[in-house]
Amino acid sequence: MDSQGTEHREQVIRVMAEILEIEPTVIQGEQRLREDLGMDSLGSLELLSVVSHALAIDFEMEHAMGIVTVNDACAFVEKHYDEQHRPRGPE
Amino acid sequence: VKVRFIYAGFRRHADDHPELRSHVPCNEYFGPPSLGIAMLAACTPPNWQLDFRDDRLEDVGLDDPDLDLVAISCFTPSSMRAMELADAFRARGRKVVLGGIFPSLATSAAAPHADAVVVGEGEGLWPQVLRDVERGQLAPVYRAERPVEVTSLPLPRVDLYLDKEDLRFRPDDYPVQLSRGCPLSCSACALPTSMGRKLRHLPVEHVLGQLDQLAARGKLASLTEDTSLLPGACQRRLVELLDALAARERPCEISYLGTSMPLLLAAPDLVLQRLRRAKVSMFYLVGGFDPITRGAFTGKDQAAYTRAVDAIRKAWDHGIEPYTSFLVGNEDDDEGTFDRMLEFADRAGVRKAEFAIMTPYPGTPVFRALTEQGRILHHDFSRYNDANVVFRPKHMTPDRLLEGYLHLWREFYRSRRDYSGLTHAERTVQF
Repeated sequence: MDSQGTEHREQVIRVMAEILEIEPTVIQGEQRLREDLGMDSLGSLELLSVVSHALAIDFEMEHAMGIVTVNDACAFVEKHYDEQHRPRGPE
Repeated sequence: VKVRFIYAGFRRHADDHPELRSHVPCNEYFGPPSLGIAMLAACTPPNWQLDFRDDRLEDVGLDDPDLDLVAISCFTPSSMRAMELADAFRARGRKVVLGGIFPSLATSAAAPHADAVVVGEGEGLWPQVLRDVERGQLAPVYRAERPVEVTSLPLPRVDLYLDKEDLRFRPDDYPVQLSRGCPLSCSACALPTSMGRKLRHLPVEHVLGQLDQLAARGKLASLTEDTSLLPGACQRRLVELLDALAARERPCEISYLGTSMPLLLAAPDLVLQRLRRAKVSMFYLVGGFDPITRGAFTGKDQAAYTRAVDAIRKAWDHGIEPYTSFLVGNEDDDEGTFDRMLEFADRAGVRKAEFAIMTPYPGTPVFRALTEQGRILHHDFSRYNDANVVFRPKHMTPDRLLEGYLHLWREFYRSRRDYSGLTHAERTVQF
């Protein structure tokens, strides 16, 4: 993961921590948002809402329905950021 | 060849409980038909003549001789009336097709009353139905095998509804459709089953076209879909639409945006500021489907209660009225729920509210669950209108639930009698 990817991951975890009112260091990649961290559907909506506006990423909600773990959420954000903002090299 | 579209009548809250008319110091909402008929009318080929009758307002013309097809649209509360009308037309030798949410989700109940049933979104099937009528080969069921391609939809013929306006029927607003389908799985909602889980957004140009039609007739637009504040593409498209409206000289005004407390809380301030700039003055906050409103009034979920207060305050902070729809009869509601709702409304500052009884509509997960548990009291669908108890609640008797619902209407509006500072549209409540 490059430095921007790391930065985005930290940002996602920071927003999660704010929503859950816990320290970011407690959050681990394999943890499940609902079962392990207690993030309800409102929390997930808030997470996606805040991060999508902060990073200016666009996505269809149904594609976010498969997010289960912290890693899933970070990968989802990075994938959409990559597709929408990374400069493409010559074909 | 001629087709008559009919919007079947149904009983509203005040029809079943006339005392509400004295309790509620507001205009009684008498809204326009859903957009289904307006869409099919727009998809009707020019060799067909068409007309429209609103069964709530006028005679449907059972004995009119020149009808080649009668197309009746219904949802659950109007389904029994629709089937009664279908039987009456067929007894006079007319061909009848039934469509809408109820025939789509309870096809076996509707089919015996019609020559044909349209299951699912009708726009893609409608030309085939009409061709088959012309050939005398109507099939019993037309089933939409795939979602309609929303980028190619025509504008709905809302003129059919607008032309019916008179002293009794004059809605302030008409619905504008932004998308179809929903990826969420709310237990009391039939939308994902009837329209699919993939959200399909209508092009902004199409939505603006719908708005222009209403503006030309001096009407407000209501954005009724609960999905418009979902994160990602929904929010982006809503902002695009609001910006496009703001850039217009004479934009159609929006009466309200339908949403729920979780989506309102999760929406960034930026989106709410755009709504306010576009002069959206009211949220229609649908309750009972989401974890906040399902927990807030149970007396056991303080976090949900606090979030509900925050949602109302967030709306007011942005200058947007939170017209709140309270749903009673959820699984964790008990006899204390009614007074908790009233206390909440006072504390949070809810000025306008409506109250509804949880109703398990056919095709929803909650209907299946209550059926399996033997808790459905009857299948008189004319009473499946949010104003009657049609299932056995978990923590109280059906009579107590009905009594609590009426208590809410009465007590909420007892201390809110003066709405004289509001416009006609702002003073309108659904009951």
